[in-house]
Amino acid sequence: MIRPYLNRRSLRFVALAGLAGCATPPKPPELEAFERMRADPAVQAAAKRTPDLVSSSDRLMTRAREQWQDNELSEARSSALLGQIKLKHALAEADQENARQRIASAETEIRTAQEEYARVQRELNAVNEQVNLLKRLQESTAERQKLAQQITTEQARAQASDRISEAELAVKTADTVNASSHAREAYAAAVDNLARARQEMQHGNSQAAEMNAQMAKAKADEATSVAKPLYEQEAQAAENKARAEALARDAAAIPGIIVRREARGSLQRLVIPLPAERLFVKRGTSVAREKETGLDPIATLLKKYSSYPVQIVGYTDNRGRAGEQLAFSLARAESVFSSLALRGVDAKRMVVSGQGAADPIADNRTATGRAANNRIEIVFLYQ
Amino acid sequence: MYAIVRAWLNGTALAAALLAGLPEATAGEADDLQVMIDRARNGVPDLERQDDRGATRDETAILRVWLDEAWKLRSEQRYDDVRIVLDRCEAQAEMIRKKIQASKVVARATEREEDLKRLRENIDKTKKAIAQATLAKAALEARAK
Repeated sequence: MIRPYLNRRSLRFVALAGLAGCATPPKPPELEAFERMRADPAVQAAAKRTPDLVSSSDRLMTRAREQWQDNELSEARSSALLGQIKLKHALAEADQENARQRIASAETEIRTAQEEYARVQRELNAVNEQVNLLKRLQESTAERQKLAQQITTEQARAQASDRISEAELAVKTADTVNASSHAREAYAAAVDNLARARQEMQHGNSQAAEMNAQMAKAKADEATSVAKPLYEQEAQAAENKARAEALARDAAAIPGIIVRREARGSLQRLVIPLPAERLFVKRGTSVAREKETGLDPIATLLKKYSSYPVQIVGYTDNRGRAGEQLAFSLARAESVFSSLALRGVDAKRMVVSGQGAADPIADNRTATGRAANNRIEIVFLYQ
Repeated sequence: MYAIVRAWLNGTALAAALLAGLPEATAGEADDLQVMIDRARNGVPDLERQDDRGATRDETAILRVWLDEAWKLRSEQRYDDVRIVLDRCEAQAEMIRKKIQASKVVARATEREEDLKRLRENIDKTKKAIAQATLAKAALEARAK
Protein backbone atom coordinates (compact mmCIF):
# COMPACT_ATOMS: atom_id res chain seq x y z
CA MET A 1 0.00 0.00 0.00
CA ILE A 2 1.45 3.38 -1.05
CA ARG A 3 1.28 6.09 1.49
CA PRO A 4 -0.49 9.33 0.38
CA TYR A 5 2.46 11.59 1.19
CA LEU A 6 4.68 10.01 -1.54
CA ASN A 7 5.27 12.38 -4.42
CA ARG A 8 5.58 11.61 -8.17
CA ARG A 9 9.34 11.36 -7.96
CA SER A 10 9.09 8.70 -5.30
CA LEU A 11 6.58 6.83 -7.34
CA ARG A 12 8.98 6.77 -10.32
CA PHE A 13 11.76 5.39 -8.13
CA VAL A 14 9.55 2.62 -6.79
CA ALA A 15 8.46 1.74 -10.33
CA LEU A 16 12.10 1.45 -11.55
CA ALA A 17 12.98 -0.62 -8.52
CA GLY A 18 10.10 -2.94 -9.27
CA LEU A 19 11.26 -3.37 -12.85
CA ALA A 20 14.76 -4.01 -11.68
CA GLY A 21 13.44 -6.60 -9.24
CA CYS A 22 11.63 -8.44 -12.00
CA ALA A 23 14.77 -8.77 -14.28
CA THR A 24 16.89 -12.02 -14.20
CA PRO A 25 19.85 -11.45 -11.88
CA PRO A 26 23.43 -12.54 -12.78
CA LYS A 27 23.94 -16.26 -12.49
CA PRO A 28 25.59 -17.15 -9.16
CA PRO A 29 29.15 -18.43 -9.63
CA GLU A 30 28.26 -21.54 -7.59
CA LEU A 31 25.64 -22.42 -10.19
CA GLU A 32 28.06 -21.79 -13.07
CA ALA A 33 30.63 -24.07 -11.42
CA PHE A 34 27.91 -26.65 -10.85
CA GLU A 35 26.95 -26.57 -14.54
CA ARG A 36 30.59 -26.90 -15.64
CA MET A 37 31.02 -29.84 -13.32
CA ARG A 38 27.88 -31.47 -14.62
CA ALA A 39 29.16 -31.14 -18.20
CA ASP A 40 32.26 -33.16 -17.35
CA PRO A 41 32.13 -36.50 -19.22
CA ALA A 42 33.21 -38.26 -16.04
CA VAL A 43 29.80 -37.47 -14.59
CA GLN A 44 28.17 -39.62 -17.29
CA ALA A 45 30.20 -42.56 -16.12
CA ALA A 46 29.42 -41.75 -12.50
CA ALA A 47 25.69 -41.65 -13.36
CA LYS A 48 25.86 -45.30 -14.33
CA ARG A 49 27.44 -46.24 -11.04
CA THR A 50 25.37 -44.00 -8.75
CA PRO A 51 22.23 -42.92 -10.64
CA ASP A 52 20.46 -41.84 -7.47
CA LEU A 53 23.17 -39.37 -6.54
CA VAL A 54 23.37 -37.92 -10.02
CA SER A 55 19.57 -37.69 -10.28
CA SER A 56 19.43 -35.95 -6.96
CA SER A 57 22.16 -33.60 -8.18
CA ASP A 58 20.23 -32.93 -11.36
CA ARG A 59 17.15 -32.11 -9.38
CA LEU A 60 19.16 -29.70 -7.31
CA MET A 61 20.47 -28.09 -10.48
CA THR A 62 16.92 -27.63 -11.75
CA ARG A 63 15.92 -26.17 -8.45
CA ALA A 64 18.96 -23.89 -8.35
CA ARG A 65 18.15 -22.60 -11.83
CA GLU A 66 14.55 -21.96 -10.85
CA GLN A 67 15.63 -20.20 -7.69
CA TRP A 68 18.05 -18.12 -9.73
CA GLN A 69 15.31 -17.31 -12.21
CA ASP A 70 13.11 -16.36 -9.27
CA ASN A 71 15.86 -14.17 -7.99
CA GLU A 72 16.29 -16.30 -4.92
CA LEU A 73 20.04 -16.13 -5.17
CA SER A 74 20.92 -17.37 -1.72
CA GLU A 75 18.74 -20.43 -2.15
CA ALA A 76 20.14 -20.93 -5.64
CA ARG A 77 23.70 -20.84 -4.29
CA SER A 78 22.82 -23.34 -1.57
CA SER A 79 21.17 -25.69 -4.03
CA ALA A 80 24.09 -25.39 -6.43
CA LEU A 81 26.59 -26.09 -3.66
CA LEU A 82 24.60 -29.09 -2.46
CA GLY A 83 24.32 -30.32 -6.05
CA GLN A 84 28.07 -29.99 -6.50
CA ILE A 85 28.59 -32.00 -3.35
CA LYS A 86 26.31 -34.73 -4.65
CA LEU A 87 28.16 -34.78 -7.94
CA LYS A 88 31.51 -34.93 -6.19
CA HIS A 89 30.20 -37.75 -4.08
CA ALA A 90 29.05 -39.55 -7.22
CA LEU A 91 32.43 -38.96 -8.84
CA ALA A 92 34.20 -40.31 -5.75
CA GLU A 93 31.97 -43.38 -5.85
CA ALA A 94 32.82 -43.81 -9.51
CA ASP A 95 36.52 -43.32 -8.81
CA GLN A 96 36.37 -45.90 -6.05
CA GLU A 97 34.55 -48.38 -8.24
CA ASN A 98 36.94 -47.73 -11.06
CA ALA A 99 39.86 -48.25 -8.70
CA ARG A 100 38.33 -51.49 -7.45
CA GLN A 101 38.06 -52.70 -10.99
CA ARG A 102 41.66 -51.69 -11.56
CA ILE A 103 42.65 -53.63 -8.46
CA ALA A 104 40.71 -56.68 -9.57
CA SER A 105 42.20 -56.46 -13.03
CA ALA A 106 45.70 -55.92 -11.60
CA GLU A 107 45.28 -58.83 -9.20
CA THR A 108 44.26 -61.11 -12.05
CA GLU A 109 47.18 -59.96 -14.15
CA ILE A 110 49.49 -60.21 -11.16
CA ARG A 111 48.50 -63.83 -10.66
CA THR A 112 49.09 -64.56 -14.32
CA ALA A 113 52.35 -62.63 -14.25
CA GLN A 114 53.43 -64.40 -11.06
CA GLU A 115 52.85 -67.73 -12.74
CA GLU A 116 54.80 -66.58 -15.77
CA TYR A 117 57.52 -65.16 -13.54
CA ALA A 118 57.76 -68.45 -11.68
CA ARG A 119 57.93 -70.29 -15.00
CA VAL A 120 60.66 -68.08 -16.44
CA GLN A 121 62.53 -68.23 -13.14
CA ARG A 122 62.46 -72.00 -13.32
CA GLU A 123 63.59 -71.84 -16.91
CA LEU A 124 66.38 -69.43 -16.01
CA ASN A 125 67.44 -71.62 -13.12
CA ALA A 126 67.51 -74.63 -15.39
CA VAL A 127 69.60 -72.86 -18.02
CA ASN A 128 71.90 -71.41 -15.36
CA GLU A 129 72.31 -74.82 -13.86
CA GLN A 130 73.25 -76.20 -17.25
CA VAL A 131 75.67 -73.32 -17.79
CA ASN A 132 77.22 -73.93 -14.38
CA LEU A 133 77.50 -77.62 -15.10
CA LEU A 134 79.18 -76.88 -18.41
CA LYS A 135 81.49 -74.42 -16.73
CA ARG A 136 82.40 -76.92 -14.04
CA LEU A 137 82.93 -79.56 -16.69
CA GLN A 138 85.21 -77.25 -18.63
CA GLU A 139 87.03 -76.21 -15.49
CA SER A 140 87.48 -79.84 -14.63
CA THR A 141 88.73 -80.60 -18.13
CA ALA A 142 91.06 -77.62 -18.00
CA GLU A 143 92.29 -78.77 -14.60
CA ARG A 144 92.94 -82.25 -15.93
CA GLN A 145 94.72 -80.84 -18.94
CA LYS A 146 96.76 -78.61 -16.70
CA LEU A 147 97.62 -81.57 -14.51
CA ALA A 148 98.53 -83.64 -17.54
CA GLN A 149 100.63 -80.75 -18.79
CA GLN A 150 102.33 -80.53 -15.43
CA ILE A 151 102.99 -84.26 -15.47
CA THR A 152 104.35 -84.00 -19.00
CA THR A 153 106.48 -81.05 -17.98
CA GLU A 154 107.73 -82.89 -14.92
CA GLN A 155 108.46 -85.96 -17.01
CA ALA A 156 110.27 -83.86 -19.57
CA ARG A 157 112.15 -82.17 -16.76
CA ALA A 158 113.06 -85.48 -15.19
CA GLN A 159 114.08 -86.83 -18.58
CA ALA A 160 116.16 -83.75 -19.27
CA SER A 161 117.67 -84.08 -15.82
CA ASP A 162 118.57 -87.70 -16.57
CA ARG A 163 120.12 -86.69 -19.88
CA ILE A 164 122.13 -84.00 -18.10
CA SER A 165 123.32 -86.54 -15.53
CA GLU A 166 124.31 -88.87 -18.34
CA ALA A 167 126.13 -86.06 -20.08
CA GLU A 168 127.89 -85.13 -16.81
CA LEU A 169 128.95 -88.73 -16.39
CA ALA A 170 130.16 -88.84 -19.99
CA VAL A 171 132.17 -85.64 -19.48
CA LYS A 172 133.64 -87.07 -16.28
CA THR A 173 134.51 -90.23 -18.15
CA ALA A 174 136.14 -88.08 -20.80
CA ASP A 175 138.03 -86.33 -18.02
CA THR A 176 139.39 -89.67 -16.83
CA VAL A 177 141.03 -90.23 -20.22
CA ASN A 178 142.30 -86.64 -20.32
CA ALA A 179 140.04 -85.83 -23.28
CA SER A 180 140.53 -82.12 -22.69
CA SER A 181 144.03 -82.63 -24.10
CA HIS A 182 143.63 -85.58 -26.44
CA ALA A 183 140.24 -84.57 -28.02
CA ARG A 184 140.14 -80.89 -27.33
CA GLU A 185 137.42 -79.83 -29.79
CA ALA A 186 134.97 -82.61 -28.99
CA TYR A 187 135.57 -82.14 -25.27
CA ALA A 188 135.08 -78.37 -25.46
CA ALA A 189 131.86 -78.88 -27.43
CA ALA A 190 130.64 -81.37 -24.82
CA VAL A 191 131.37 -78.99 -21.94
CA ASP A 192 129.75 -76.12 -23.82
CA ASN A 193 126.64 -78.15 -24.60
CA LEU A 194 126.43 -79.33 -21.01
CA ALA A 195 126.57 -75.75 -19.72
CA ARG A 196 123.88 -74.77 -22.19
CA ALA A 197 121.74 -77.71 -21.10
CA ARG A 198 122.03 -76.64 -17.46
CA GLN A 199 121.11 -73.09 -18.42
CA GLU A 200 118.06 -74.22 -20.39
CA MET A 201 117.07 -76.39 -17.46
CA GLN A 202 117.18 -73.40 -15.13
CA HIS A 203 114.94 -71.51 -17.51
CA GLY A 204 112.51 -74.41 -17.56
CA ASN A 205 113.17 -75.34 -21.20
CA SER A 206 113.31 -79.05 -20.66
CA GLN A 207 113.24 -79.96 -24.33
CA ALA A 208 116.13 -77.69 -25.21
CA ALA A 209 117.96 -78.85 -22.09
CA GLU A 210 117.50 -82.48 -23.08
CA MET A 211 118.66 -81.82 -26.63
CA ASN A 212 121.78 -80.00 -25.44
CA ALA A 213 122.47 -82.71 -22.88
CA GLN A 214 122.23 -85.37 -25.57
CA MET A 215 124.62 -83.41 -27.77
CA ALA A 216 126.95 -82.98 -24.80
CA LYS A 217 126.90 -86.71 -24.13
CA ALA A 218 127.51 -87.53 -27.77
CA LYS A 219 130.45 -85.13 -27.90
CA ALA A 220 131.81 -86.38 -24.59
CA ASP A 221 131.55 -89.98 -25.81
CA GLU A 222 133.26 -88.99 -29.01
CA ALA A 223 136.01 -87.23 -27.04
CA THR A 224 136.38 -90.30 -24.83
CA SER A 225 136.62 -92.66 -27.77
CA VAL A 226 139.22 -90.44 -29.40
CA ALA A 227 141.16 -89.79 -26.23
CA LYS A 228 141.01 -93.24 -24.70
CA PRO A 229 143.62 -94.99 -26.93
CA LEU A 230 145.91 -92.02 -26.67
CA TYR A 231 145.43 -91.89 -22.95
CA GLU A 232 146.02 -95.63 -22.62
CA GLN A 233 149.14 -95.35 -24.71
CA GLU A 234 150.29 -92.51 -22.58
CA ALA A 235 149.48 -94.40 -19.44
CA GLN A 236 151.13 -97.52 -20.74
CA ALA A 237 154.19 -95.57 -21.67
CA ALA A 238 154.29 -93.99 -18.26
CA GLU A 239 153.84 -97.36 -16.66
CA ASN A 240 156.51 -98.88 -18.85
CA LYS A 241 158.81 -96.06 -18.09
CA ALA A 242 158.25 -96.40 -14.39
CA ARG A 243 158.78 -100.14 -14.56
CA ALA A 244 161.87 -99.68 -16.66
CA GLU A 245 163.15 -97.19 -14.12
CA ALA A 246 162.49 -99.66 -11.38
CA LEU A 247 164.19 -102.40 -13.36
CA ALA A 248 167.19 -100.18 -13.93
CA ARG A 249 167.33 -99.30 -10.25
CA ASP A 250 167.07 -102.95 -9.20
CA ALA A 251 169.64 -104.02 -11.81
CA ALA A 252 172.05 -101.29 -10.76
CA ALA A 253 171.71 -102.48 -7.19
CA ILE A 254 173.32 -105.87 -8.03
CA PRO A 255 176.92 -105.65 -6.76
CA GLY A 256 179.70 -105.46 -9.38
CA ILE A 257 177.29 -104.81 -12.22
CA ILE A 258 177.25 -101.68 -14.34
CA VAL A 259 174.06 -101.62 -16.41
CA ARG A 260 173.55 -99.56 -19.49
CA ARG A 261 170.43 -98.46 -21.35
CA GLU A 262 170.22 -98.32 -25.07
CA ALA A 263 167.58 -97.21 -27.48
CA ARG A 264 167.11 -98.79 -30.87
CA GLY A 265 164.22 -97.02 -32.51
CA SER A 266 161.16 -97.39 -30.31
CA LEU A 267 162.74 -100.41 -28.65
CA GLN A 268 164.51 -99.86 -25.32
CA ARG A 269 167.16 -102.15 -23.99
CA LEU A 270 168.51 -102.55 -20.50
CA VAL A 271 171.80 -104.36 -20.76
CA ILE A 272 173.37 -106.18 -17.81
CA PRO A 273 176.89 -107.23 -18.82
CA LEU A 274 178.30 -110.20 -16.88
CA PRO A 275 182.09 -110.67 -17.36
CA ALA A 276 182.88 -114.29 -18.36
CA GLU A 277 185.38 -114.69 -15.51
CA ARG A 278 182.47 -114.19 -13.09
CA LEU A 279 180.72 -117.30 -14.43
CA PHE A 280 183.29 -119.51 -16.23
CA VAL A 281 186.67 -121.01 -15.48
CA LYS A 282 189.28 -120.16 -18.12
CA ARG A 283 187.99 -121.28 -21.56
CA GLY A 284 185.08 -123.36 -20.14
CA THR A 285 181.68 -123.17 -21.81
CA SER A 286 179.64 -124.26 -18.82
CA VAL A 287 178.91 -122.09 -15.84
CA ALA A 288 181.27 -123.19 -13.14
CA ARG A 289 179.51 -124.85 -10.24
CA GLU A 290 181.21 -122.63 -7.69
CA LYS A 291 180.26 -119.52 -9.61
CA GLU A 292 176.63 -120.33 -10.33
CA THR A 293 175.49 -118.29 -7.29
CA GLY A 294 176.54 -115.25 -9.27
CA LEU A 295 173.43 -115.81 -11.34
CA ASP A 296 171.07 -115.76 -8.32
CA PRO A 297 170.45 -111.97 -8.25
CA ILE A 298 170.02 -112.09 -12.06
CA ALA A 299 167.45 -114.87 -11.76
CA THR A 300 165.64 -112.94 -9.01
CA LEU A 301 165.57 -109.84 -11.20
CA LEU A 302 164.30 -111.81 -14.19
CA LYS A 303 161.50 -113.34 -12.14
CA LYS A 304 160.54 -110.00 -10.59
CA TYR A 305 160.15 -108.40 -14.00
CA SER A 306 158.64 -111.43 -15.63
CA SER A 307 156.81 -109.61 -18.45
CA TYR A 308 159.97 -108.49 -20.25
CA PRO A 309 161.41 -110.62 -23.00
CA VAL A 310 165.03 -111.25 -22.39
CA GLN A 311 167.96 -111.90 -24.65
CA ILE A 312 170.98 -113.83 -23.39
CA VAL A 313 173.83 -112.89 -25.66
CA GLY A 314 177.35 -114.35 -25.56
CA TYR A 315 180.47 -112.31 -26.65
CA THR A 316 184.20 -113.13 -27.01
CA ASP A 317 187.37 -111.20 -27.61
CA ASN A 318 188.87 -111.13 -31.06
CA ARG A 319 191.24 -114.00 -30.68
CA GLY A 320 190.61 -117.09 -32.85
CA ARG A 321 188.53 -117.54 -35.92
CA ALA A 322 185.13 -115.99 -36.24
CA GLY A 323 183.26 -119.31 -36.50
CA GLU A 324 184.92 -120.53 -33.34
CA GLN A 325 184.15 -117.27 -31.60
CA LEU A 326 180.46 -117.52 -32.53
CA ALA A 327 180.19 -121.13 -31.37
CA PHE A 328 182.08 -120.41 -28.21
CA SER A 329 179.93 -117.40 -27.34
CA LEU A 330 176.70 -119.29 -28.11
CA ALA A 331 177.77 -122.26 -25.95
CA ARG A 332 178.41 -119.98 -23.01
CA ALA A 333 175.04 -118.15 -23.53
CA GLU A 334 173.19 -121.45 -23.64
CA SER A 335 174.91 -122.53 -20.42
CA VAL A 336 173.68 -119.33 -18.72
CA PHE A 337 170.21 -119.90 -20.19
CA SER A 338 170.14 -123.37 -18.64
CA SER A 339 171.30 -122.13 -15.28
CA LEU A 340 168.68 -119.40 -15.22
CA ALA A 341 165.98 -121.83 -16.32
CA LEU A 342 167.08 -124.10 -13.51
CA ARG A 343 166.53 -121.12 -11.15
CA GLY A 344 162.93 -120.82 -12.17
CA VAL A 345 163.10 -118.30 -14.96
CA ASP A 346 160.53 -119.01 -17.69
CA ALA A 347 162.53 -120.42 -20.61
CA LYS A 348 160.01 -119.23 -23.15
CA ARG A 349 160.76 -115.57 -22.55
CA MET A 350 164.51 -116.05 -23.00
CA VAL A 351 166.22 -115.94 -26.37
CA VAL A 352 169.82 -117.13 -26.64
CA SER A 353 172.38 -115.96 -29.16
CA GLY A 354 176.15 -115.88 -29.67
CA GLN A 355 177.67 -112.79 -31.21
CA GLY A 356 181.36 -113.80 -31.16
CA ALA A 357 183.70 -110.82 -31.15
CA ALA A 358 181.06 -108.35 -32.36
CA ASP A 359 180.29 -105.22 -30.43
CA PRO A 360 183.41 -105.09 -28.22
CA ILE A 361 183.01 -102.86 -25.18
CA ALA A 362 186.80 -102.61 -24.53
CA ASP A 363 190.14 -102.63 -26.31
CA ASN A 364 191.12 -106.21 -27.40
CA ARG A 365 194.81 -105.26 -27.49
CA THR A 366 195.02 -105.33 -23.72
CA ALA A 367 194.38 -108.27 -21.43
CA THR A 368 191.90 -106.18 -19.37
CA GLY A 369 190.07 -105.19 -22.52
CA ARG A 370 189.85 -108.74 -23.73
CA ALA A 371 188.61 -109.91 -20.33
CA ALA A 372 185.87 -107.30 -20.53
CA ASN A 373 184.88 -108.29 -24.06
CA ASN A 374 184.54 -111.95 -23.02
CA ARG A 375 181.11 -111.53 -21.50
CA ILE A 376 177.45 -112.60 -21.27
CA GLU A 377 174.88 -109.83 -21.66
CA ILE A 378 171.38 -110.17 -20.15
CA VAL A 379 169.28 -107.80 -22.22
CA PHE A 380 165.79 -106.70 -21.08
CA LEU A 381 163.72 -105.53 -24.05
CA TYR A 382 160.85 -103.05 -23.68
CA GLN A 383 159.01 -100.27 -25.52
CA MET B 1 31.95 -43.32 15.71
CA TYR B 2 31.13 -41.24 12.69
CA ALA B 3 28.02 -43.34 11.99
CA ILE B 4 26.75 -42.51 15.45
CA VAL B 5 27.38 -38.82 14.90
CA ARG B 6 25.70 -38.91 11.51
CA ALA B 7 22.60 -40.69 12.90
CA TRP B 8 22.46 -38.17 15.62
CA LEU B 9 22.74 -35.32 13.11
CA ASN B 10 19.98 -36.80 10.95
CA GLY B 11 17.71 -37.23 13.92
CA THR B 12 18.42 -33.80 15.12
CA ALA B 13 17.79 -32.32 11.67
CA LEU B 14 14.47 -34.12 11.43
CA ALA B 15 13.47 -32.89 14.83
CA ALA B 16 14.57 -29.42 13.88
CA ALA B 17 12.46 -29.60 10.73
CA LEU B 18 9.42 -30.73 12.65
CA LEU B 19 9.83 -27.91 15.07
CA ALA B 20 10.46 -25.29 12.41
CA GLY B 21 6.93 -24.10 12.28
CA LEU B 22 6.64 -23.51 15.96
CA PRO B 23 8.00 -20.08 16.87
CA GLU B 24 7.62 -20.86 20.49
CA ALA B 25 10.21 -23.58 20.23
CA THR B 26 13.05 -21.24 19.19
CA ALA B 27 14.46 -21.06 22.69
CA GLY B 28 15.62 -24.68 22.68
CA GLU B 29 16.34 -24.69 18.98
CA ALA B 30 19.41 -22.48 19.30
CA ASP B 31 20.91 -24.87 21.76
CA ASP B 32 20.13 -27.84 19.56
CA LEU B 33 21.76 -26.19 16.58
CA GLN B 34 24.79 -25.29 18.66
CA VAL B 35 25.14 -28.90 19.67
CA MET B 36 24.83 -29.98 16.02
CA ILE B 37 27.44 -27.46 14.89
CA ASP B 38 29.81 -28.46 17.69
CA ARG B 39 29.49 -32.12 16.89
CA ALA B 40 30.01 -31.46 13.23
CA ARG B 41 33.11 -29.42 14.07
CA ASN B 42 34.40 -32.15 16.34
CA GLY B 43 34.05 -34.61 13.44
CA VAL B 44 36.38 -32.61 11.19
CA PRO B 45 39.68 -33.63 12.88
CA ASP B 46 38.55 -37.24 12.59
CA LEU B 47 38.15 -36.76 8.84
CA GLU B 48 41.57 -35.12 8.65
CA ARG B 49 43.12 -38.04 10.47
CA GLN B 50 41.58 -40.48 8.03
CA ASP B 51 42.83 -38.46 5.09
CA ASP B 52 46.44 -39.52 5.44
CA ARG B 53 47.02 -38.85 1.73
CA GLY B 54 45.72 -35.27 1.86
CA ALA B 55 43.17 -35.95 -0.86
CA THR B 56 40.44 -33.75 0.67
CA ARG B 57 42.29 -30.81 2.17
CA ASP B 58 40.36 -28.24 0.12
CA GLU B 59 36.99 -29.84 0.83
CA THR B 60 37.76 -30.00 4.53
CA ALA B 61 38.76 -26.34 4.52
CA ILE B 62 35.45 -25.46 2.87
CA LEU B 63 33.64 -27.58 5.44
CA ARG B 64 35.24 -25.60 8.21
CA VAL B 65 34.23 -22.34 6.51
CA TRP B 66 30.66 -23.57 6.22
CA LEU B 67 30.57 -24.63 9.83
CA ASP B 68 31.81 -21.18 10.78
CA GLU B 69 29.05 -19.74 8.58
CA ALA B 70 26.49 -21.96 10.34
CA TRP B 71 27.76 -20.73 13.66
CA LYS B 72 27.47 -17.16 12.50
CA LEU B 73 23.92 -17.71 11.21
CA ARG B 74 22.98 -19.31 14.50
CA SER B 75 24.28 -16.26 16.29
CA GLU B 76 22.07 -14.19 14.03
CA GLN B 77 19.21 -16.51 14.94
CA ARG B 78 18.68 -17.42 11.30
CA TYR B 79 17.90 -20.95 12.24
CA ASP B 80 16.44 -22.02 8.91
CA ASP B 81 19.60 -20.91 7.16
CA VAL B 82 21.63 -22.74 9.80
CA ARG B 83 19.78 -25.95 8.98
CA ILE B 84 20.39 -25.48 5.27
CA VAL B 85 24.12 -24.96 5.87
CA LEU B 86 24.26 -27.87 8.29
CA ASP B 87 22.59 -30.12 5.68
CA ARG B 88 25.23 -29.04 3.21
CA CYS B 89 27.95 -29.67 5.79
CA GLU B 90 26.61 -33.15 6.38
CA ALA B 91 26.64 -33.87 2.68
CA GLN B 92 30.14 -32.39 2.42
CA ALA B 93 31.36 -34.59 5.26
CA GLU B 94 29.77 -37.61 3.64
CA MET B 95 31.38 -36.72 0.33
CA ILE B 96 34.75 -36.18 2.02
CA ARG B 97 34.52 -39.59 3.65
CA LYS B 98 33.72 -41.20 0.35
CA LYS B 99 36.53 -39.34 -1.36
CA ILE B 100 38.97 -40.49 1.31
CA GLN B 101 37.82 -44.06 0.82
CA ALA B 102 38.12 -43.66 -2.93
CA SER B 103 41.59 -42.14 -2.64
CA LYS B 104 42.69 -45.12 -0.56
CA VAL B 105 41.27 -47.57 -3.04
CA VAL B 106 42.86 -45.61 -5.90
CA ALA B 107 46.17 -45.65 -4.06
CA ARG B 108 45.82 -49.37 -3.55
CA ALA B 109 45.01 -49.79 -7.24
CA THR B 110 48.04 -47.72 -8.19
CA GLU B 111 50.15 -49.75 -5.81
CA ARG B 112 48.98 -53.05 -7.29
CA GLU B 113 49.48 -51.71 -10.81
CA GLU B 114 53.00 -50.72 -9.78
CA ASP B 115 53.47 -54.23 -8.41
CA LEU B 116 52.27 -55.61 -11.73
CA LYS B 117 54.59 -53.29 -13.62
CA ARG B 118 57.55 -54.37 -11.47
CA LEU B 119 56.59 -57.99 -11.93
CA ARG B 120 56.48 -57.55 -15.69
CA GLU B 121 59.82 -55.78 -15.61
CA ASN B 122 61.21 -58.70 -13.64
CA ILE B 123 59.76 -61.09 -16.20
CA ASP B 124 61.40 -59.10 -19.00
CA LYS B 125 64.70 -59.06 -17.12
CA THR B 126 64.45 -62.79 -16.49
CA LYS B 127 63.69 -63.45 -20.15
CA LYS B 128 66.74 -61.41 -21.12
CA ALA B 129 68.79 -63.32 -18.57
CA ILE B 130 67.51 -66.58 -20.09
CA ALA B 131 68.52 -65.38 -23.55
CA GLN B 132 71.99 -64.46 -22.30
CA ALA B 133 72.36 -67.71 -20.39
CA THR B 134 71.26 -69.64 -23.46
CA LEU B 135 73.90 -67.86 -25.52
CA ALA B 136 76.52 -68.59 -22.87
CA LYS B 137 75.43 -72.21 -22.82
CA ALA B 138 75.69 -72.46 -26.60
CA ALA B 139 79.17 -70.92 -26.50
CA LEU B 140 80.25 -73.36 -23.79
CA GLU B 141 78.84 -76.30 -25.71
CA ALA B 142 80.61 -75.14 -28.86
CA ARG B 143 83.86 -74.84 -26.92
CA ALA B 144 83.36 -78.29 -25.45
CA LYS B 145 83.12 -79.75 -28.95
